[in-house]
Amino acid sequence: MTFDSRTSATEVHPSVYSDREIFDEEIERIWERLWIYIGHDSEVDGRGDFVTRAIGPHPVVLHRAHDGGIMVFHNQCPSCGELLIRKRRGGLRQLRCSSCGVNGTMPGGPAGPVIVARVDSHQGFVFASMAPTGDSLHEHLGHALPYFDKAVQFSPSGRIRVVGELRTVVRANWKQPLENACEGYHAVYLHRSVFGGAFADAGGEAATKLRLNEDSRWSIDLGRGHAVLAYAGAEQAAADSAIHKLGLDHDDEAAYVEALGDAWGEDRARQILDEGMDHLAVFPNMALVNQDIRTFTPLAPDRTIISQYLMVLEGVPASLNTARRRFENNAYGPAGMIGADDLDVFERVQFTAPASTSADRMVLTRGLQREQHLDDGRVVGKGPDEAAQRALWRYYDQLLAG
Amino acid sequence: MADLMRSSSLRLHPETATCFAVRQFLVHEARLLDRREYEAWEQLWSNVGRYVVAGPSDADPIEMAVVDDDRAHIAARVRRLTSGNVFADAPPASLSRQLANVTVERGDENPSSLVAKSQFQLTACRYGRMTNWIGSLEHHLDASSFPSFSLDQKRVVLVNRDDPLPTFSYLL
Repeated sequence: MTFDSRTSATEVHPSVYSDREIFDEEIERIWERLWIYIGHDSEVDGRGDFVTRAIGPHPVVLHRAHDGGIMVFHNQCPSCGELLIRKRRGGLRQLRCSSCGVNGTMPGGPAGPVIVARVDSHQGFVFASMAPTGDSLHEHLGHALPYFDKAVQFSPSGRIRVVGELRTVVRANWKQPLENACEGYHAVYLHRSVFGGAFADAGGEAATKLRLNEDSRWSIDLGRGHAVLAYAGAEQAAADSAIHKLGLDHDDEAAYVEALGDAWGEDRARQILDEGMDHLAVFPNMALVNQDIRTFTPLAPDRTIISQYLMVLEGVPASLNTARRRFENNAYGPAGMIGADDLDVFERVQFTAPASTSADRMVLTRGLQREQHLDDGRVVGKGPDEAAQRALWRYYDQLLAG
Repeated sequence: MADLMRSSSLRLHPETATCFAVRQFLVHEARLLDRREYEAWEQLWSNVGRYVVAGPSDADPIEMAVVDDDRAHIAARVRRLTSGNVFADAPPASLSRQLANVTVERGDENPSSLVAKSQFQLTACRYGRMTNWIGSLEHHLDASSFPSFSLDQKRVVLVNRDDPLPTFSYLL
């Protein structure tokens, strides 16, 4: 089967989840070419700090150099190829390969590891691209940029601190968690044990009602594979805040609203609070979901690491960050009360993918007839529509078929 | 159990009796979890209640945990697991766990608190796949109504806490 017959925006052959040749093509055409999210600059706050991350299959290091600049370099001895840094995080003084003994100068130096071709950031979110030329990060993020701005504007200072790292290994293809992060219809069915079980009395019913009302949210294709599931208004966001346990006591809420108003003006503050944080999927490897940063690292067609990080707000009542942390720990991760059901579905889809016949197709036509094409290129559907999923596959098809 | 220890033919040193009772409690808890008797398991908890499955060892400065439930969230987790809609545990994994190396110490919280430390191994089988969970347990017990206990805190530390973990929808 040629690639051309496997995907379009509305029909996908399941072998794109399981085929090794496709996976190898993706490494070359997506992971080694596009801007890949690496980490947030607050994770390497001090000079010399590092965290180890990946660009697809390539291990890299996010590092705050001693001159204060941010760099991303390949975590590999340039002489013998050995993995240089084995810790997840720490401080970097000197690089020395334990196998060939090469005493590296620092990254980019004559015997040091190779620096990744391009690094840029927006609101502290650091991206890197192995391609020496191509679109700028701002061109790549495009219509997704305002959602990064909003994520940090929940802090009156406009700054966040990203903490923690919890990694889950799922026996599924990397595209599944990306599609899932901004998909508006599965929650009421798949997460019934939470909305209708664990938190039925604490906002779960309101959250279910919200999701069954197709006008409560938008499913938006932002272009270049990015997509968002956004609340359509204050009432909708409020219906979810109860289940997210982000309700503050009266004094804390008043102080927070005032601080946000002072920082961004009353209208913008009201908008931020009314809309809440949307579910943003950034092609190909990250999502912002409420307080959660999620990244996807492909290991094999049927194996992916999902990493999660917590966005801690600056200058807000402590109770707000406590609530965000509680929700993060409770909802997501290997045993997350919400996330575990998603992870299991990814594995079940993966289970059947290799058995697909050439006639099998996954169909993504929900809401196709009623989606609106805006002048700026965005395509807007309603909550349970698949405009967001078509966004991903349309771009994917463009990248792989060319 | 209480009857067994009070019986006249069995005269145990008080410390031995305490250790014995704690071991019985730990094994009882393990069996409830293997059998998914989650509502009975929830009854073991005191009002304090904190259930933690630790995250990576270098998590800093705010710990990101696999599970970090206060008493209300323990109840919520049990409501989820007994809701009949836990798709991630359908069909349910078959579970078998073993405890070993149990020691019992006095706790700091109050005169009647005890801390039991142990090692555990849990094998879970689902979809023909075996998953092994190995690690250490710390149970903080309120012994004020000895020889029965209530659970103030349970902390699980997995040997592979620093590696990516597979998903699970049962309790460690």
